[in-house]
Amino acid sequence: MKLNQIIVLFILVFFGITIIINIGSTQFPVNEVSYLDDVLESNGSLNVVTAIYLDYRLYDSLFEVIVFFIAAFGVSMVLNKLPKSTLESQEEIDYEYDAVDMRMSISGNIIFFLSLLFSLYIMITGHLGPGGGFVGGVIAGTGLLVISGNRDVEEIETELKKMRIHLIEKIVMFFIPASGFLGLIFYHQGLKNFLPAGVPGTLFSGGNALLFNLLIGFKVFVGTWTILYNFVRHRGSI
Amino acid sequence: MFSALFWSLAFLLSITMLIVKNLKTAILFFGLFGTMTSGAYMFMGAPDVSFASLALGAGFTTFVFLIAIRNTGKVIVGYRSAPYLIYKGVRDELTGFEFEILNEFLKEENLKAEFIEIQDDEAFDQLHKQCDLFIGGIIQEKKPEINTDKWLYKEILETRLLKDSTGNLTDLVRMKEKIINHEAEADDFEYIGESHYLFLFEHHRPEMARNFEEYLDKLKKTNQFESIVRRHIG
Repeated sequence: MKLNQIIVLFILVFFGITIIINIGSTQFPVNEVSYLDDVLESNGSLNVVTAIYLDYRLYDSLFEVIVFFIAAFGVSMVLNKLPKSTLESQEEIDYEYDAVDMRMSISGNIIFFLSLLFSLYIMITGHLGPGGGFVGGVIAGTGLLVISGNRDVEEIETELKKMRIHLIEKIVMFFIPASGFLGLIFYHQGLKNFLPAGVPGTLFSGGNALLFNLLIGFKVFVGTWTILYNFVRHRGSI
Repeated sequence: MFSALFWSLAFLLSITMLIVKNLKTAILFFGLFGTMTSGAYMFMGAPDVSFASLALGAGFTTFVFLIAIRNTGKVIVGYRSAPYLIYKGVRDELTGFEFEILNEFLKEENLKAEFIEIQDDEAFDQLHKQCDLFIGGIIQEKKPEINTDKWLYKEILETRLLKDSTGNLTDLVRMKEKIINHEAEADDFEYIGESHYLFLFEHHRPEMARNFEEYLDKLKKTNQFESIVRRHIG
């Protein structure tokens, strides 16, 4: 095994053992807490659903993100081994993109920016109203595919790679469980909401909700794009 | 009340999805189904779930399915072996000018082809029952005659009609083959007139014939058509 594999394995084992020990020593409240009664004082989110999945049940959401990460990772790993679509030769792509409809090339960009704006909005206001990171990420990732109507998907992927988006994705993936440890260090409680609850109804309220919604949204955006990009690459254009 | 309306619409859409023949239409109905369930969740007081249903059911999954159904259609192509146009090359793989043009066209249309070799000329009239397309150096003047009720034909390449020493009609590529194989001399052939090689489309597929004509026009505008001709026929 290489050194970096050993390091990753060590980190995983460390995380696993700490989480197991932490859960083993935690007293889970039985029929004592009613989330709906004191959600505004203890969490500060107007949207109770967000309060539950990003605070009280963050542990569940954590694995949901991990499952999505593994799904996207698996798709790109399996499809990378298969041969590329036969439409890949440069000549044909040039020919194909000459024929793209004018309406498509203009509206594609507009639709993408609208969907990006909308996804950012529902990520940021996830704790104030319906929405959240998962939905926002899917909307942005699918919206990105719409501009493949007038631009080659490979070109989009190259630009995203230039922005080191896949590296940032992995850092974010690391940061979400790591933030659970911040709570463990400062409050002696794993996955604790370590940011202040704030005044309910304002932007900076709901503790970690805003931060986590943005992180998860980014994560899901990259995952969605990875899945769609790999499918398009091996099937030809839409 | 409203949610019940949306649920019943979703139920109707789900049945429609199973009934429709066209896969693309079925997928669009699936997207609509996601939208309807999203509306139902919204009126049931779960806007978060509604958003997720809209983004995943109507957006993401529709795209994934649209990508997935590429290369699903199948066309049965009958062919008669013709030198330079469609013939079995090395390792028994089909090659030739008509084969390449057809392959490019089917790739653009996301269709897969199954090739059947037809040797019997007389059975020509019955072929439309088993083939969607018939190719292989077909000339209109040559027998058997094409029944225009059963077949739609598209001209793909000009050729010349010639008469050989025994009085049979023949055409350029077949003449070329005979000369190269030293079966005949160039002087044996007598020029009769101009003609075209044809692609025959089964009369139930006018859409495919029209698409093919558009595709051919596009191909002729670029240099691609000439380069394919040069590569296969010279």
